[in-house]
Amino acid sequence: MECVRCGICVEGCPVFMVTKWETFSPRGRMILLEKIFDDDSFKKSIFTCLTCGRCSILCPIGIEVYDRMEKKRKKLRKLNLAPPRYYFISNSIRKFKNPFGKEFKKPDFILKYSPTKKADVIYYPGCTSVYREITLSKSVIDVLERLKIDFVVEHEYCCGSTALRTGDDAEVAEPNFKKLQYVIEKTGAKTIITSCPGCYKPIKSSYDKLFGGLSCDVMHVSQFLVDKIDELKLKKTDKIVTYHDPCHLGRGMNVYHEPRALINKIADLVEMKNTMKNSLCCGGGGGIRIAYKEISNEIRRKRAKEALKTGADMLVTSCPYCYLNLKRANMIEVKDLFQLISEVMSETIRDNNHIKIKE
Amino acid sequence: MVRFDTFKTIIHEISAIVGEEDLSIHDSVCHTYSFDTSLHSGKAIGVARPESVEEICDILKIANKYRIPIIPRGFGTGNRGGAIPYNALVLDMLKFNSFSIDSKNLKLEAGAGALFSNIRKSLNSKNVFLPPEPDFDVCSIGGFVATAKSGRRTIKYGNIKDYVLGLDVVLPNGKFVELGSKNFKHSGFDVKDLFVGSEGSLGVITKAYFKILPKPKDFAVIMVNVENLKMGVELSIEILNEMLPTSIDYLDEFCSKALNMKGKLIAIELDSYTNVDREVEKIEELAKDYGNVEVHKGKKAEKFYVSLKSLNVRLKNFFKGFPVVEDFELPIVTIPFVCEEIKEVLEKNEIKHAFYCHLDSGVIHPIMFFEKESVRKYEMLLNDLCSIVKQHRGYIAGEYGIGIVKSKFLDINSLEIMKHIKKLLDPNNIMNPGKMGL
Repeated sequence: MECVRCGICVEGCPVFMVTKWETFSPRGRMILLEKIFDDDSFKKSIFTCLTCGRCSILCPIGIEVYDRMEKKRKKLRKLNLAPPRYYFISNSIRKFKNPFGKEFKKPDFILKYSPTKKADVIYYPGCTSVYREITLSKSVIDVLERLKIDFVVEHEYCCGSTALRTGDDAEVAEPNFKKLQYVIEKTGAKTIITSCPGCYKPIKSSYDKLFGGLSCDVMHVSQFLVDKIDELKLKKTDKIVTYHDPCHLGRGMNVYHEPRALINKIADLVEMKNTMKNSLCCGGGGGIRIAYKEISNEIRRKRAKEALKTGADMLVTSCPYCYLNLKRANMIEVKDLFQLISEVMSETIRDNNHIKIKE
Repeated sequence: MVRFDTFKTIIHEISAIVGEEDLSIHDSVCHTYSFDTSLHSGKAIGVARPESVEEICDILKIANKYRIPIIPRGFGTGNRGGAIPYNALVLDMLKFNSFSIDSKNLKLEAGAGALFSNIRKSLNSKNVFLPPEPDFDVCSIGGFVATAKSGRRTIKYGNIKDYVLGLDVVLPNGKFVELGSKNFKHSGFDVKDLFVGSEGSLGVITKAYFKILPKPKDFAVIMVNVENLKMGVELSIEILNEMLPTSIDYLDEFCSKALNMKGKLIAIELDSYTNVDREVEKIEELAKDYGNVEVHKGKKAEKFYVSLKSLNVRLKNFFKGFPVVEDFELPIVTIPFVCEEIKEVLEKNEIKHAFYCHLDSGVIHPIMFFEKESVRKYEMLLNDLCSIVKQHRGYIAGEYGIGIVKSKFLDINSLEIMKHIKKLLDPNNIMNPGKMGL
């Protein structure tokens, strides 16, 4: 389907909201799609797409601009026209199995659950929760332990998401696909769960298209936990929270209600102005933080302001990357959903600095 | 064309006015500002984003000094090529995006770059409304006024010209003027009217002042399935003999399918400050001999008009190519056979098409689908279509403006007067040259 330049998408794009240049809007990007220009604005246009998919929701004929951008990025990469940091990340994923540019030792709490035995469930935490924000994967493991789930943790390779979103070849994600398939066969697991929507989308949907898919169910942890919502025995606290829909989980995979169902058991949920399918990106999507940090920061401030406006005590999300990004805006307390669940279950949050459980 | 070294000087001078951040001469940026929603495209030499009237005044003085063509641009959603630059500097007006609503005095002030759909939402929340609405409301206020666009509701509420109370304009010589009284009444020569529909050829509109109305309390849409357009027109005439509805639209089977409905449809919109029950009853009685009648109120009725705004885009689900919409105005009784004649021409030329018409104001919108690179084919076809319309005493551009698409069909005597006025205000022809035959 070709774009007819109707412009409905323009004002809905977070990058246009903060730059106000047609060139950095979905319509501008579609105009540039067939072209190559040798100037910085051209690169900036193609590489500032957050791949958040908000424009596709607004488009009357549902053009998936993000998909076209990923393909365009692929072409530009081959012509050596991508910002240098993108190559750095791709190389890092290939060399160090993570996008952070150096080798990491796998933490002990992950090694403890190595997939060496039979198990029902494989938990794939994703690079950010294993190497950067370890509380997040620890929280998920804690919740799984409390539910007495028979699980192992697999995390050797990066899922490849950042590289794929910025136009790298499928081959960058292949080692992870193969390893996951191997672990599935070895453990006999029926389900893979992941707490990172950035990993969830490629593992559940891109791997299908690229490699033919994995031989088991793939779920986001919020979906997995909703099925066990009564067993969680969550207690209502006196907190008011707002929920930020991660783009790849909400618009990307249509998971809106599960995280909300879990939050509603714990706290009073107030929605932001832009929520569910209209939700704004946190500014961290599509790899734009790598090369266009200023734009990314302005978008996250915009999102954090929306959260503040609700009057909520904290912003809850269910993506390690959104969590990290919004937390660094330093504007509102931010928690990952599973961190919150783990804290409520362990009742370690009775003191006043945290959440009070309603008696 | 200016010489390269002169161009560098100009860019340097304009950059000193708006700041480096708000001027771009990157080819990629220029390219994205070289389109509107027509088949045509042009070439911008640069894009400047002024944020104050003073900056615009200074830019126009420089443009006069070096004879640089200037194109004011709002949201780039026009479809007549009016805002397409041809070796011109684009003035992106989106920084003039503030607006304020005075619901007590029934007035609205809006910057040229304010988005009409945003204003509509705010007006709605304050229980007031600006009745004229373009068929497609993702447009800037500046573009709306400068093209004198209109859509539904014209017969009952008039068009945008009837609501403009004043305009702030930077004249081509760089002088800022406030035109119109900004009050409901005005005696004498009303110069502001000249700028409504001037398509950026006489100066840069920076702000517009409007009268607004209280929002009607009741609202309904009545859908009647008709066998053909002729029956639709007959029903429409019967209705107009009895009452003044807000709008009467005709959608052919493709248009109704694009909006998830079936068959040829007449949609009659009613609004009232009390309630519309009596009118609804009367129309039901009149329409029962024509076909199946459905009455919608509230959300469902609103949803219909929201989706109608993106009709030509939605039609892409059924037709390949790029939609081009015409806006021929005709005496209502001639609509069925003029549409037949147009249809014949389109079929002969193998152009896929659909018809959407305003049966109250007599505007027909053939929505035609062309390959992207077929400007010439379209222009040749347009000659035929316009001569059909003229034969039946219709007007070739009822709603969307003239731009470059319709300029050659303008009446020669009007054009001569327009040229005199243009010469008086813009002797160096820097403002949107080549549009509207100027």
